[in-house]
Amino acid sequence: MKLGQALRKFWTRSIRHQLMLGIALIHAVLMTIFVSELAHREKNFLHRQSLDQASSLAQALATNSTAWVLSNDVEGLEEVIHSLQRYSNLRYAMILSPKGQVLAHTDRGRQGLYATDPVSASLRRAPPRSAVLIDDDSLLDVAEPVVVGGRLIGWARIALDQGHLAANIQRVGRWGMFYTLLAILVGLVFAYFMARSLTRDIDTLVQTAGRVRTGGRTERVKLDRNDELGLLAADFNQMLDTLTANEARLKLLLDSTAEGIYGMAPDGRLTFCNPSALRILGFPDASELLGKDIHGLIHHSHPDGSPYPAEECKVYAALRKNRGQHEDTEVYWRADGSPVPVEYWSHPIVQEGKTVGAVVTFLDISERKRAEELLAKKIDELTRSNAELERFAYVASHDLQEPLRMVASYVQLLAKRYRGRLDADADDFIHYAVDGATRMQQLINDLLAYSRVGTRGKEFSPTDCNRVAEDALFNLSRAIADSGAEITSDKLPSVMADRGQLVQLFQNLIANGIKFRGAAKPDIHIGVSLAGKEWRFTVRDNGIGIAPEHRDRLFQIFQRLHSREEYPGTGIGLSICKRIVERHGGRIGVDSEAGKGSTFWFTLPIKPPNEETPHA
Amino acid sequence: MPDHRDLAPVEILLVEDNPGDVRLTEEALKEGKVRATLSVARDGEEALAWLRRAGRKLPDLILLDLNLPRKDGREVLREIKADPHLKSIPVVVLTTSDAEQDITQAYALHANCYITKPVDLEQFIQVIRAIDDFWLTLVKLPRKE
Repeated sequence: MKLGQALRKFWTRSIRHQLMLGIALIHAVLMTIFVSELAHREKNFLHRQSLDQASSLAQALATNSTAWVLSNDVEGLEEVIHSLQRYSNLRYAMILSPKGQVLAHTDRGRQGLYATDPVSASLRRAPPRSAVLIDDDSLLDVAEPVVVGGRLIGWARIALDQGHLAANIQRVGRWGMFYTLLAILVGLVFAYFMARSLTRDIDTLVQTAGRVRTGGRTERVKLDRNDELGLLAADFNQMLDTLTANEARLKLLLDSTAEGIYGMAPDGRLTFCNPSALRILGFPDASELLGKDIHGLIHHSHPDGSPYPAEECKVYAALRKNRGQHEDTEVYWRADGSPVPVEYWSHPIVQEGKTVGAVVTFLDISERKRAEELLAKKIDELTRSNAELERFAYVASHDLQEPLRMVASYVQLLAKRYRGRLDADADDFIHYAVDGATRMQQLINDLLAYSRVGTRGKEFSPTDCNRVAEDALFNLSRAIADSGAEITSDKLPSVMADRGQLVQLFQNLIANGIKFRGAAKPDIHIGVSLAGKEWRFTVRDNGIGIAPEHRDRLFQIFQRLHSREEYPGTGIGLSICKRIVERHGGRIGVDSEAGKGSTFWFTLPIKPPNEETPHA
Repeated sequence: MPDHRDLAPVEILLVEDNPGDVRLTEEALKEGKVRATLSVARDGEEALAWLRRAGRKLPDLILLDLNLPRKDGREVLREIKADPHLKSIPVVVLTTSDAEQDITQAYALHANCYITKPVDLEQFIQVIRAIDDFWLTLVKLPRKE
C-alpha cells in the first residue's frame, strides 16, 4: 500500500515527468524487443549459412575423395583436404574410414590414428547419411558419408568455426543497445518539448485561475491552439465571462437594493457590506467595518441603552443555532452613536454541513416605528374620546334627566291638582310644558341609543338573517297587525354580525315602511343579492317615498322630513341604522321617488371586516 | 306577626339630596294614599349618623339615592349592609340612573332592589305605591327590636 502510494506520488509529480518517463519506458521496451528479435534472426541466418556451407563442403569433400578412398591413395586425399584450407573459418576437415581411422586430416599429425572421441565413435554405428555431429557456439561439425554403389566406404567431416557467429550477434546487440539508447534519448527530448508546450499552457490556465480567484476578474487565458487545450481555454474564458456577468448582476443587485446587506464570518467578523448598509449605518465606506466584530460595532446595546452581550445576539444566533433569525424590535447603532430601529433577517450559509458564515439583510424601520407610534397615539386618543363619549352618555342619562324629571313631574303634578281650576290658558301652557318635557326625554333616550350602537356593541358571530328578520317581525307584530301590512322575504344568508343590532336594523327599516305608508296597505319585501364581495339587502315598500333632494339628510341624526303631527318620532331610526351598518363594514342608502315607494338598501361583507371590536 | 299599619304609620328613611325629589316623594306618598312617616337625610353621612343615633327606632325601609354629596349612596349601602344592626333593613335604591354598572354594583353591595325613577309623575306614584305594597305589606320581614 505504502509502496503503491509512493509510486503513485512519483508518477503523478508532473505531466512532463509522466510524459518523459512514459516515452522512455515505451522506447526501451520496444527497442529491446526489436533488437533481441533482430539478434535472434541474425543468429539463425548466420547459423543456417554455416550449416549450408559446411554441408556443401562436406558433400564436395565426400564426392572428391571417393576415388581416392577407393584407391586408398592417401596423398590424393591430402591434396583434396588441403585444398580446403583456403576457407578461413575451417577448423578442421577429415576423412574417416567406416571404422573410424583417420584417412586424411587437415592436421597431418592425426593421419592414421583412430578417432576415439564419442562423437567420432557415434559415426561407426550411424546410418550412411548426412549428419550434424556438433553444433554449438564455437563449432559446427558435419559428416557426409562417402558411398560407392550403396556401400559406405568412409565419412567426410567438415568442422567450421562458429566463434565469429557469437561475435556477430554481440555486435548486433551492441548496436541495438546504442540505437535503443538513442531512441530513448530522442524520445525524451521530444517528450520534454511536447510536455513543455503542454504544461506551459496548462500552467497558464492554472495561473490565470489563481489570479481570477484573488480578484483579477478581467484576466483571460490567451492560447493559440486548436487542440483540446485550446478548447479548454476557450471554455474557461467563456465560463469567466458568464461568472463575471453574473457577478456584475449580483453586485448591481447588492448595490442598488434599499435593504442593508452584510456578510459575517463564523466568528462574527464582517466580510462584506453593500452601500445601503453603509448609508443606514452612517459609515462613509466599508473600511471601518470590514474584518471588525460587527456586534460590538453596531449592535452592542439594547434600544434602552443597556448592554447587549454578544452571547445573546440574535444576529449571531444564525451562526450558533444554524437557523435563520428574524427580529424587528431591536436597534443598530450608527457611526455617530445614534440608534436606528431595524428589522433584520440573519441567515446562516452552510457548505457541506458546516456553517461558514451568515448573511444579514436589514431595513431602517424608523418610518414604520413612527407610523406605529402615531397610530398607537391615535388609537389612544380614540379610546379616550370613546371613553369620554361613554361618560357623556352617562351624564345624559343621569344628570340631564334629573332636572328634566323635576320639570316634568311638577308640571304633571300641577296638571293633576289644578287642571280646570285655573283658566283655559293655564291648561294650554301646562299641556305644552308636559309635551315638551316628554319629547325632550325621548330625544335624550334616542341620543343614548344612538351612542350605544358604538359603545355597547357585541362581538360579531355567525348570524342567520332569516332568524333576524323573524325576530324583527315578531317585535313589530302589533304594528303589522294594526296596519294590515303584507311582508315577504327572500331566503336570506348568514353573516358575521352583532345579532341584536341586526334585529334593530331590520326592525327600524320595516317599521319605517309601515309607518310611512300611503293610502294602500303596506306591502314590504325583504330582498338580497350578491354584489361583488358583499351581500346587498333591500327593504322595499309601497309607501309615500322620498324626494331625491332629501336623501342625504335622511340618515342624519334627528333629521325629519315630516311634521310630528303627520308622522311622530324624533328622527333617530335611520341614523341608528347607518351606524349599525357602518359598524358592520357596510353602506346604507335609499332608492326612491316621492309617491312611488322606497327601497332602502344596505350592504354587509360576505367576509367580516377585520374590526378592532369597538369596546372602548 | 302584626301588620305595621294597624299600629302606626310605617317609618321610611329617604336619603336624597334634591329637595325637589324629597317633596315629590312626599307628594307621591300622599297621592298614593300611603300612610308613612318620612324621615329625610340630605347626604350619606347624615343618613348613617341618623341610623346610628343611640336609642333610635330603626325605619321599616330605606329609600336610597346613589349620587349624594359627601358620602355617596354606594358607600352608605356598603356600611348599612356591613352593620349587623342595620343590615336587615330593606334598602331600595331609587335613582335616576339606569346605567348597567350602577345596577350591577348596587346588587353586589346587597341592595334589596333597584328602581329607576320614572320621569312621568303617574308612573312615579305607581312606583311608590308598589314599593309600599311589596316591602311593607306583602313581604315578611324580621321583627324589629
